[in-house]
This record gives sequence, structure tokens and C-alpha cells, in this order.
Amino acid sequence: MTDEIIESPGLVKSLRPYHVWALGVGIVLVGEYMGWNFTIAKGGVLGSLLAMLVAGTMYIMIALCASELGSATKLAGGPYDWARLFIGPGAAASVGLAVYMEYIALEAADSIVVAFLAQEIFPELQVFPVTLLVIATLTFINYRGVVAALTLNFIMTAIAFVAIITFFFSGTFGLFEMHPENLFQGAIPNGLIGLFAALQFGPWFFLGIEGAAMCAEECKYPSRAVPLGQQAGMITLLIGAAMTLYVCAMLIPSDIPAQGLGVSVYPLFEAAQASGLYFLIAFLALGTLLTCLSSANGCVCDSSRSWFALSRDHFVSHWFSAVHPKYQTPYRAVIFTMPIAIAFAFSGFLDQVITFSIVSGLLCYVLIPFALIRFRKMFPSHISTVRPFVSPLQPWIAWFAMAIAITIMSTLFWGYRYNLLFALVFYLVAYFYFHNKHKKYMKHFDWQKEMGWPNPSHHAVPKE
Amino acid sequence: MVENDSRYKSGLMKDTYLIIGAILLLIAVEGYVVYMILYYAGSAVPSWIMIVYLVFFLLALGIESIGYWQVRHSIKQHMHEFRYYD
Repeated sequence: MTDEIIESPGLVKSLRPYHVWALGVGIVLVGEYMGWNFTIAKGGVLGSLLAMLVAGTMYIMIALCASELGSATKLAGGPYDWARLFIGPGAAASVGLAVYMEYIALEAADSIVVAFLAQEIFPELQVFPVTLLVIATLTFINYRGVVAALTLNFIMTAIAFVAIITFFFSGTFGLFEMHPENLFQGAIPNGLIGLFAALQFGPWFFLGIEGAAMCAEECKYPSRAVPLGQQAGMITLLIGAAMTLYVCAMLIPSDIPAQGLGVSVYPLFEAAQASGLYFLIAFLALGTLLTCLSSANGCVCDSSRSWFALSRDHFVSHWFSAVHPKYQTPYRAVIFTMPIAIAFAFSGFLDQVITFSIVSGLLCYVLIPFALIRFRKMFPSHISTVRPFVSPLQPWIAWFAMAIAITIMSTLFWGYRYNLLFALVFYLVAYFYFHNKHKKYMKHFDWQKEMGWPNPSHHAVPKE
Repeated sequence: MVENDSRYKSGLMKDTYLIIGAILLLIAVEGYVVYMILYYAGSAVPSWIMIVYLVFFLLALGIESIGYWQVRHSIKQHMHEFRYYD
């Protein structure tokens, strides 16, 4: 380790709004190719529709909070930095770890799915080496530079999204036969309780969109790129979710929860097979592959930034905060994602890891709006140096988002109670450990020097 | 100066078209899908539950539309100060 590297100029600032879009949608779109259909198994078509609308409303509000916080702070840590600045070190470390776990678990899952898809196409391939190859390749791309990594994400995500749009309009304009009777027959197989139970899988449609704001420190004009790109991403996901639910529910029966759409591994691909059109089957197969790759790629980017930010503030070893002198990437944090992702991928408990990832995400969805409420109280005036983007209807939508996140988290108690309890204990321990270790740090925080902001209102300085 | 002004006007117009187009597409697709699913499957649940769907449908579209329009307002307000289109 050399001082030149530690003291190097910082992360490169070259990203545009479409990179922000690509990062956000790239991570999330995989949830519309697979995973969302567990809402169907729990609550049928109507349960899935309710989960999509409720989770969609929550994510819209969180994305608006994230856009305001990201364009204001312009820091790589995203939710971690917002919690650090506006809540306190204990909450910051918990959120930083939650974001890291959320994305790295998703990267491991995506890489395994890519390996399985590759094996289906080329049966002689083995899953283990292909998974390693995917993780290593994406790590190398992210090591070489964020622009190349996110430009690749933009291309892959755009193709995968166009595949969904093409599929939807092909059905709507009659290129293949739709089956509206499937909508009624699979409407609500588990009764009214199923509508409530379906909520726990609603986040699959949008899980991770808040990560789009994590490239703020690397944007050329973060106060334009973050809100424009992130909200475009949110609208893309809302449109994609609606189209996916509609065509899949029309083409694949869901009247028996243990069969059909509710338990499908690749629902969009299977729906394309049911359409009988070869070009759609090929297009959706390509979309499935690309969306897994783009999700894993975006996860390497976001998890490394969260680890980098934790390291920069001495929550974990400062060794990880080095910036590459040539590529201007947090290269040690990027490389460190590789062994962790491999460990997750081959732990044998991937379903548990994914559930832990969802609980981690939901914890963030409580703390992101709370950070915004604190931010508004600490810095009430809308001056452009502090708050270049003012999200509307605050703080009401922040409180509402927190209420929905807690409601969805409570539904995990049915079926995943041990995962939920383990995650809550884990983050509670992390909270008190880091709170005690770093409470002196916040008392001496110089807002003018660190952020270029005036001091906050005296009545709302963090108490931690 | 004139060239700079026209570049900024053109840049803002492109962002405005993107925002309006995205909002219209969202309303059209989301409205169509929610209407079709409730038309075919809505009779399976009591009518009071339909109000829940309607409330969240309106909340999602309303908040996102207002939020994205606010992004345009923010860009217009700060585009010269932060030199967005240079």
C-alpha cells in the first residue's frame, strides 16, 4: 500500500443520466424476469397486482427520497452516507453492511443463474467454473473503470427491456393468442389472506432501484443525472412490471398455487414459449441471460462503493479505500467483492442468503426515508448548494414509505421468521457496536469542510 | 452567448420530452394493465377491495408524475448555475 494511491485524486466524474438509469434498472430488471412470480403463488393474479401496486408506491417514494439525498450529498456510499450524515454512525454502519449484503448476495445468485442458463445451452459446461468465470469477469470489468462497466450495463439492460416491450405489444396487437380466462381462474386461489401474503414478494419487482443514486460521486452533473436517471429507471420498472405481470398471467395458468406461473423458474421465458413464436422465445432467452449479467455487474459496482465508503470512514479497514491511480476506481473494494460473492455462491444456503438480502433491503427502506426526514430538519432551507433537487410532498411520503416498508417486513414473519429475527439481531448488534466505536466522530464533523454546507439547525444535530 | 442559450434551450427541451413521454407511457401501460386485470378478475374479490387497488394505482401514478415533473423544474432552475449542458 502506498500513500500515493490512498491520496489519489478520487473517483472519476464522468457518468451521465443514462448510466444512472443503467445502474438502477440493470440491477433490478432481473426481478421481472424471475422471482416476482412468487407473489402469484401466494396471492394469485390479484395478489400479485396488489403487491406490484403497493411495492411500486413504496419504491416511488423511496426513489424520490434517494434522488434528493443523492443529488445533495454526491457521495459514493449512498444509503450508508445518508445515514452517517443525518442519523448517526450506528445506523450508518448497519445500512452500509445491509447494502453490501443485499447486493453481494444478489450478485452471487445472478452468477449462478447465468451458469445454469449456459449449461442449458451447452450441456457439457459445469456450473461451478462458469459461476467463477462470470464473477471474475465482472470484477475485472469493474476494476478497469466505471464508465465501461455501466456502458455495458446500459446496452444489456436496454436489450432486456426492449424484449419485454416487444413481448407485451406482440400479445396486445394479436401476434399470438392471449388467454384472459387465466386471469379469472388464477385470480385469488388462497383467499383474501393471500392478498396480504403476496406483499412479501412485491419488492422483487423493484428491489435495488435505490442503488442508482450510489454512483452520484462519479457523475459529471450529479444534481441532474441522479434524479433524471433514477426516476426514468423507476418509470421503466413500473412499466416493465405491469407488462410482465400481464403477459405472464395471460399465458401461464396459475389456478393451482403449487403449479404453473407461481413456481416457474423463468416466467417470462416460459410465457414466451407458450406464445409459440420462435423469435420471442429467442429474444426472451437472450433477455434472461443479459438481465442476470447486468444485475450482477451493477451489484459489483454498488457493493464495492458501499464497502469503499465504509472503509473511507474507518468502519472497516482503511486499506480498502484506495483509488486506482490510472482507472480511478475503488479497486481494492471491487476485488474484495469477488471472494465474498464466491463464498455466498457456494455456501449451499443461497435461498437463505437471498432472504437475508431482502430483509437487508427492507431495513434500508426504513432508514432512507428517515434519513431524508432528518436531512430536512437539519437543513430546512432549499439553497442550491445543499439541496439542488427538492423532492415533492415531503415529509409525508417519507413517513408513508416507512410505514409500507415495515408492513412488508412484518409479512416475512409468515414463512421466514428465523431469517427475519436473525437479520434484525445482526443489524442491532452492528448498530450498537459501531455506535459506541464511532460516536466521537460525528461530534467533530465539520460540515463546511466536508460538504461545503453551512452548519445544521442547532435543534436537530445527530444525537449519537 | 446566443449559441449557448440555444444549446441550453435545446437540452432542456430534450429532457422535457423525455419526462413527458415517460409519464404518458407509464399512465397508458399501467392504466391498461390494471384495467384489464380488474375487468377479468375483479369479480373474484369483494367490491370494497377494489378501492384499495384504485387508491394505490392513483398514488403510484400521481406521486411519480409529480416527482418527475419536479425533476424538470429542478433542471430548469439550476441548469445555468451548474452548467448542465456545457
